[in-house]
Amino acid sequence: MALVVIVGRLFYIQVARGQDYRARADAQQSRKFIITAKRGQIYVHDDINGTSSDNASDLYPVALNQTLKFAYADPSFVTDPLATADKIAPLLDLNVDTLEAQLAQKKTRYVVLKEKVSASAAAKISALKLPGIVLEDKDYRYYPESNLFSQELGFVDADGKGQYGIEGYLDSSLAGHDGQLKAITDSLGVPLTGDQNVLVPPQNGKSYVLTLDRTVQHIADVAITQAVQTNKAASGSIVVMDPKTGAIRAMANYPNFDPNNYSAVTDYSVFSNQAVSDAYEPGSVFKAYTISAGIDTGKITPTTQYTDAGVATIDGVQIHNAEDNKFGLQTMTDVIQKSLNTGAIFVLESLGGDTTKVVQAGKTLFARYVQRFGFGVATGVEQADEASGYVPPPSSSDVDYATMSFGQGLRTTEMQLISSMAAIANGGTLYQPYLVDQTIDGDKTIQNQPKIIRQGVISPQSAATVANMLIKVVEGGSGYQARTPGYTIAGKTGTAQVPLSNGQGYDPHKNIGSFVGFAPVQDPKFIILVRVNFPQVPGFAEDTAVPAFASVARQLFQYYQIPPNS
Amino acid sequence: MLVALVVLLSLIYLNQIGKNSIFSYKISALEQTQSNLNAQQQQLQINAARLQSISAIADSSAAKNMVPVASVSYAH
Repeated sequence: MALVVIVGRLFYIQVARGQDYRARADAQQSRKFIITAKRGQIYVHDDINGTSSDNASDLYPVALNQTLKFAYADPSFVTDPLATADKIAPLLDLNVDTLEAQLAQKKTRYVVLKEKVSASAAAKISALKLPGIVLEDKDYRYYPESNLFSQELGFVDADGKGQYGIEGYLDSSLAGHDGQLKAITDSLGVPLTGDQNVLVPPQNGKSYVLTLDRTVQHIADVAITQAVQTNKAASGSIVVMDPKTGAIRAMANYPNFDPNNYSAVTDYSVFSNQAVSDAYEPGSVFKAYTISAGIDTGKITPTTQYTDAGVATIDGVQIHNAEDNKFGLQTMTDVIQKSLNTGAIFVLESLGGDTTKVVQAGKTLFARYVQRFGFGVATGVEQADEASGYVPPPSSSDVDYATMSFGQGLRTTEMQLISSMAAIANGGTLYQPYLVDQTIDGDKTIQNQPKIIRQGVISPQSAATVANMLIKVVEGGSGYQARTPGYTIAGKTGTAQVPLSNGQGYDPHKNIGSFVGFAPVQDPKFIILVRVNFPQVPGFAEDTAVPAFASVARQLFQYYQIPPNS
Repeated sequence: MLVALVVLLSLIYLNQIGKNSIFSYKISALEQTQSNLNAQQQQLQINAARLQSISAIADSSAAKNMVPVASVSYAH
């Protein structure tokens, strides 16, 4: 009888209730541990020749992980809020009264006390063994160059999520995937080794090497800071690119911010990378593309002449040159050199086969070239929130297209302007601008290759012709301040009007000065775009943007060790 | 005889369990050491990057004694 009872009881425990008891035992003896994936790091090149290299010693880390202590409280366990606050407030640099009030909230189970607690303060707090006060390891991002790469990198927020820049654009890839260990533990909760443990290893995030060169970035950063401050401008940016690959060597904005302390920023617009996300009317820089269309179609040559009356009338609307200049008989080279609006309109008219008026065929052909140069479409550069810009369709009015021929009435991004000018510099190939040079995934390093968007945007002969015309801008036109003995530089200035926010015309007190140029023309090593927003000093781009270009270009000649050709 | 065998097997089993626990703690200790070394490496990398940052270099006494480049001559 007793045996029957014992067997019955065993059956009840092991079979009938077995599953339940196993679950309870598991809950007591095993725990799940989250194994946090390490966020990938970000590097830039740091070699004197400024060229891509797979040598790790030539890389500099610009975004690193740093494990620090994070302090929080569980007030339900705090026995004496006042005494606790008295002891730890000085160590955490907190107000005693505020802290005491926080610790006295017994119904609250979680109060964040301080992020990034120093090692010494953490050791002192741990030694106090205060109930309810917890210190945990937490990974933080550290940016050793502070402001230098701010908008390109973005930052990682308090939740560990990448925001803006590369951190935002490549967040999921940088973050990786957390792992998990389900393990049998001892009475203190320490996992024990055993074959019952289940380990899902973490997948650490990928690291990235950017195309940016730290020295070039510094040169650009200093130049744009000086340009904005000297011109009492609102903001500005400089982009430096390799015209033969699309690799971006520098992308500097001012103002910028320190991603180590992003929470101190009050104007959130500073987080955005204006070189990528802010489309604007480019102004006369755009004449380079109008001329390119004319040259490539054979409708004009550098010596084609027209009469500049200082004004062109389109559909009854008078369109003037800047400052109402009037030069009479002019060549197409003069149009570029003197930046004549009437000349750009003449080219548009020529594209339609009738040099007296804008016709539909001319607008359609012009739109085709604008599209081939990549305007109106995001370039795909690895940055969050890239703008596409806007190009009016050929069905737009003749006046709209006339103004577009000299860079008003359309919106472009700096990425589009610099990559399209690079197509002129390199003989007609439109490269996608890019920032990621290498991807490091564990032991594997994957080299990113330049991506051609379109070959033959214009023919190599047309590109060479336009480049030679753009040399005149620097040698005797608005880019004269960029002249550098021994070096041939080509480029185009633009002083663009800024539309009023109500859409009723342009703001008479605002302009955007820009200059896009490349050198040496016969074998271009770099292309630079300078943009200065809303300068408060008199003058055009030749005074606001060109000096910054000259400063960067002259330093790059030395940095890249480019000998003079004459 | 049977009791002695059961006792012997129990002792062997307990011995193995004990050894297993000891190895578990040794592994935990080694993992802790590895973790500490990783933390040290991380801190050294951060210190190296900080010391090599452009602002640190610009503030160094060596940099302050440098003069700007006036002109460059190239050997053709």
